[in-house]
Amino acid sequence: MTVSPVRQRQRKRKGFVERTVTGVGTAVEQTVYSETYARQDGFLQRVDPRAKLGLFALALLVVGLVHDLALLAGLWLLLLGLGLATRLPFKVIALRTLLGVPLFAGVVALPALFLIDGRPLLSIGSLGPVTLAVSDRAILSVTTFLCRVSVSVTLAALLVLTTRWADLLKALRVFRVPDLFIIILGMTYRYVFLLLRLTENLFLGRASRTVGTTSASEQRRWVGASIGTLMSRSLKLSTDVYAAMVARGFSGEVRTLTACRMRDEDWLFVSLGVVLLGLAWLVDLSR
Amino acid sequence: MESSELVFRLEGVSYRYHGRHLALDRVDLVVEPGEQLVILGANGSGKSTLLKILDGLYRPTSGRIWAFGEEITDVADDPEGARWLHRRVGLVFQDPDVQLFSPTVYDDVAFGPLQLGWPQEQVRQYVERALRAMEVAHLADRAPYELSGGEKKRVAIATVLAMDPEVILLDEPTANLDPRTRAALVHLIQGMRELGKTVILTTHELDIVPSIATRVVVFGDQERRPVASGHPDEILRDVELLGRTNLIHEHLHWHGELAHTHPHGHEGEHLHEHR
Repeated sequence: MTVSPVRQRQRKRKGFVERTVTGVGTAVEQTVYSETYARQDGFLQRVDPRAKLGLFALALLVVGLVHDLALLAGLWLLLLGLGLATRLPFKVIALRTLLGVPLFAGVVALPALFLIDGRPLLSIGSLGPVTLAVSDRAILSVTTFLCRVSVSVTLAALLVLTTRWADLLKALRVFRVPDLFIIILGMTYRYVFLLLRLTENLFLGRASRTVGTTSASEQRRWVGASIGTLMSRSLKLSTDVYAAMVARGFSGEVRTLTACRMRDEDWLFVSLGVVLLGLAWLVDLSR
Repeated sequence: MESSELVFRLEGVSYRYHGRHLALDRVDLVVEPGEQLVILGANGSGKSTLLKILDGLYRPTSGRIWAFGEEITDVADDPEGARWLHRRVGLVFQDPDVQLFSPTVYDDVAFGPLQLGWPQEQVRQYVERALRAMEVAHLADRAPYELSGGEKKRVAIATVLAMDPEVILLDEPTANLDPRTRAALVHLIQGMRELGKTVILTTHELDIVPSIATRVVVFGDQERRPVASGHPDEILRDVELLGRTNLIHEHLHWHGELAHTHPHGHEGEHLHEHR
């Protein structure tokens, strides 16, 4: 595929910071759009967020303890089925797990392939006195690690895709997270959007007034000035937000609405999940 | 009217930002219960600063101020006094993004009543009433970043209405809104009079003034204090005053071959007649 000269010039003109900001902006937009799935009427979407979060924590623990590869594969397929049953597109779940896992966990696990002792299966060469070889135990350990990460990431994807951010924050109270911390987390998420939009507009404003190329030193100066502008705007924003909180009676002590009661269906979901995870752990122990 | 019956009384109130930049200069002002007072002034004439002082967020650099007969000059440094004042006076900020800091619209509207220590059932009742009054009940579960500019303004007003204050301060409520949303908001502000609220509103948009004001106070952008006060018709007819305070300007246009100038407001209103 050929790239048009205009596109080529645009690519050249976009600096590292600009690309980063655009990338983060796109990621934030995708996060917003992912709430579309959380708003759908599906089985997991209807479950109380506290039930989902509690079970998610327990499932992470069990997945971390299980060694059996077949069991891990079974758990992953079960989660995939659960995702499809709750009206999540296969592509969305797969993208979050199958692409992310080799990229991040794979890179982390790569050195372990050469560091774990065992029966050598593949010799690559030697580095001075050290022989670089991949052992059977290394392959098993790395595969187990990658499988655990895949199942954990799928679990997290299911939780995030079927639960709205606001509900997820409220569910944190299950773990006795202080209200003040939850409010700060919510406000951070809220204003990151605003500041990102502001940053994007700063870059767009500059791009619309830039003709030709600018030197590296000019770009550095501009980035420095933009950081300063953003800093001063965020300081003003934080002062104004605090004033708006005080104007509505805030005096340092946080008061929140009590969350709703769990329904019978939510308790049933938690019970089934606990039994299933307990069974998985017992089966793993018996092997 | 007795001093104790007044909503606000200001005597020689001045305010300097960081002790240097003068924002208000010796302001004297009285606000009576049930008034719909519009404070007209160009950008930088101190309107927003005045509202923050009336809401007890800023402490005047000099001068004294009373609300409902009680002195509130130092209320910004007195949490108990501030709590008492915020129960009775609500401020809608110019930028709704400042006011909508919670994960959902419902949480935002519930924030104020919860901080006042009301029982949970009462909080829910007032929140739902405010959401209905501002016609945003369908947005209750939405996140603030998902709302349009007009929706944000409505929700910001609902956050204050839910606290059921006697006085509502609105800082440029119709700024940056499309005409339809602006008209709807003017209608909602008119409705506050029927609810028996005292409304103090700042703006530099002259065309909304006759619809919502029972009295107008004009702030001079040089003087940074009221330079005129009166009935909306009387103020809006005073072209010399409006020109001097930077609320209208001379506008040149053509009628065929004839060049013609007339006073022209900031938001497109034409205050002139062709003879």
